[in-house]
Amino acid sequence: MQLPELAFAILIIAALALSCLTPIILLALFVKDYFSKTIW
Amino acid sequence: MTEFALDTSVGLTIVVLFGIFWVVFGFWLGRKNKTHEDFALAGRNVGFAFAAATAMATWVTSNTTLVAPQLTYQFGIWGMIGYSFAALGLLLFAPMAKRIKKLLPNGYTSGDFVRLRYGQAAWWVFIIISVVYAFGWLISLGMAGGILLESLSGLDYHIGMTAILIICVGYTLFGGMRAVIATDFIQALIIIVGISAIAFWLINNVGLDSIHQNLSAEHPQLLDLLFPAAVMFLFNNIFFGLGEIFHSNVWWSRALSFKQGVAYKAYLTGGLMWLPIPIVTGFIALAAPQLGIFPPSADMIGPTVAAAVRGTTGAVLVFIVIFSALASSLDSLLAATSDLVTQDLFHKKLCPNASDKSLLRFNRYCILGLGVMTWLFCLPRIATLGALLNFAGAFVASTIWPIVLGLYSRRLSGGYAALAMAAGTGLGLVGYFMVGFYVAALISCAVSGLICALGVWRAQSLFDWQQLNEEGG
Amino acid sequence: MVSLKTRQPGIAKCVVTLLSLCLLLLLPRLVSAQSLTLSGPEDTVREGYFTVSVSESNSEVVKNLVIESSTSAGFDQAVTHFPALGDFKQLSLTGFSNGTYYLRARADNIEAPSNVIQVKVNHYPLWQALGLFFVGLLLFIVLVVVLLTFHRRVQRGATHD
Repeated sequence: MQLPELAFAILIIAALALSCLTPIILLALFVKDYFSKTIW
Repeated sequence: MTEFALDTSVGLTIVVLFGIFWVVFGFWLGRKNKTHEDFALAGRNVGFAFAAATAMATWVTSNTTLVAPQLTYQFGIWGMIGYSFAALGLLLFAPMAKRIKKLLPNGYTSGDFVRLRYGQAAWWVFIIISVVYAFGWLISLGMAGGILLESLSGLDYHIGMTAILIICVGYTLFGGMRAVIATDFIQALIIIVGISAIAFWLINNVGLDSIHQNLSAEHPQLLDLLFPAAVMFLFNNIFFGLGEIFHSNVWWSRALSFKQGVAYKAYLTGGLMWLPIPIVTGFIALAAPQLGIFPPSADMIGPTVAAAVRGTTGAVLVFIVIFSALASSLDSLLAATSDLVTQDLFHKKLCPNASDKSLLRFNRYCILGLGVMTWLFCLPRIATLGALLNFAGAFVASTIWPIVLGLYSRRLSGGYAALAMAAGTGLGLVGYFMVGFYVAALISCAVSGLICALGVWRAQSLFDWQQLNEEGG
Repeated sequence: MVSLKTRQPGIAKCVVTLLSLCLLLLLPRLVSAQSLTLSGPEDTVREGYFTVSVSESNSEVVKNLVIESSTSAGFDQAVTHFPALGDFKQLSLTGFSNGTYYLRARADNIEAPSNVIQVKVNHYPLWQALGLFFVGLLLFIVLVVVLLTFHRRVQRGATHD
């Protein structure tokens, strides 16, 4: 049973999109912590 | 190999610049450390952003950047999906982290917990498992550093290995847990941006459709959803990951260092952020056949493809990403293992009346000592990458049930916990050598689970949670 | 996490190396006739991936080393080419389905192709794989259910067993 091309494309693009989102989330959380002085 | 993706001098320059940056940064962060608690657990007050980033970045090890592509190259689609299931370890640890923080508000290490919850016998088994695992991991990271720097830039193995150890020991020594966590944050950003850039370039220039076509024509097995070896290894790999996270002080000391109410959501977020990473790094390996790249050994596939497609830029990027991945795990492991030695061996066994100042000093010596020992073990370049950790699955998977039940149930006694870990490890190793790598963690977890179930069923007394709150932490 | 060992045909490799060394010593005039020797896995391959390595009688540089693979011994149908990376003489090949494959090595600066080796690929039976899969799945479900039940119980404040 082979993985169809469409499923393959969706898998890779979804993973890539999620991993691109990660730095944005991390930086947003950092900015929030920074201004509320809760980094440490 | 005569041609390297990167000039040796460029490689060395990057290592030196990064080294200076991290050590100075660690020194700057370390100014705030006044007590041993500050040093070992960052004052138990780490906020959500750093907490989530450190959970994710520490789990992105050299393995995620090297073994995930390797498994994808060998096992295809299931290799990368299976590897990304290791995120389950972080996700399932989230509720446990909350529980740990609640049960042990003054605790330091996972060894602390096992000693108080299960007593001496179980503690000894647990410490042996922890030490075997921590050293295996430390040495494999140190060697991975040397091997990678050498294969990418021709930098001598011993110089590369020594450099990465000096850098990590340096900033952990100065900055303690604060430095480990803050550098993890930056390293996490570097790793994700780097691998996403390479994957994006591959999709743009090689194309998803042509990669899929090439695979289905010439390597059909890699797209097979019923690939027997891959299906077989899937859950073994998951239990390996669960065992690694549940028992290791790397994750416990993090849970304890986070601010109240942060641990649960930090591990959950960290796990979700980690989930797509092995798929992205694995995908890089799937493009190899289409690009006509067949590496001499499978663990080199990720860096080779990345360096091949982007030339010097790609090689610099890979160099920095892998350097960051190695450092983010090496520093955590150095800090967590030295905490374990300082707290569980020095403070509890050898010198119960040690002052805060002498604990802090001992912890620093310990980091230095661990660094030197790792360096000595790495010198002969004994094994190929990852081979050292091959059977660690049998060790760590045996701790899953004793840890889970120890945290939540009062019925499991120390005797059964010790037996579960010892028998699980033993039979897991037997399975590893008699049957194959793909059953070691599975057998270990199943055997230890059965013994724990028996222990819970036949419980004669109930544990008193108050015993976990030791005087003076 | 788990990394997998590839089997090295140690003895065979040593014998071949020794033999070629003896030949070199005994027949100095024939040294100019370069030849490639290909070695691969001797046992049946169970996972669909394996490593092959090439040695060269004269220990000179081999230009553009390529491994050819075919399902027929005469290399007359469906030949696939796997180029080696840089100067490496070892290749890690992957993604083979069940069957018998014939492999040989070629290089630009050496006229004759290498010896032909035969690699048998026979994946684990699916029942065995699925058996382990479902045992693992069951154990995993039990673990998750136990963990979440305990977690919810603790959340509700009932810490007594």
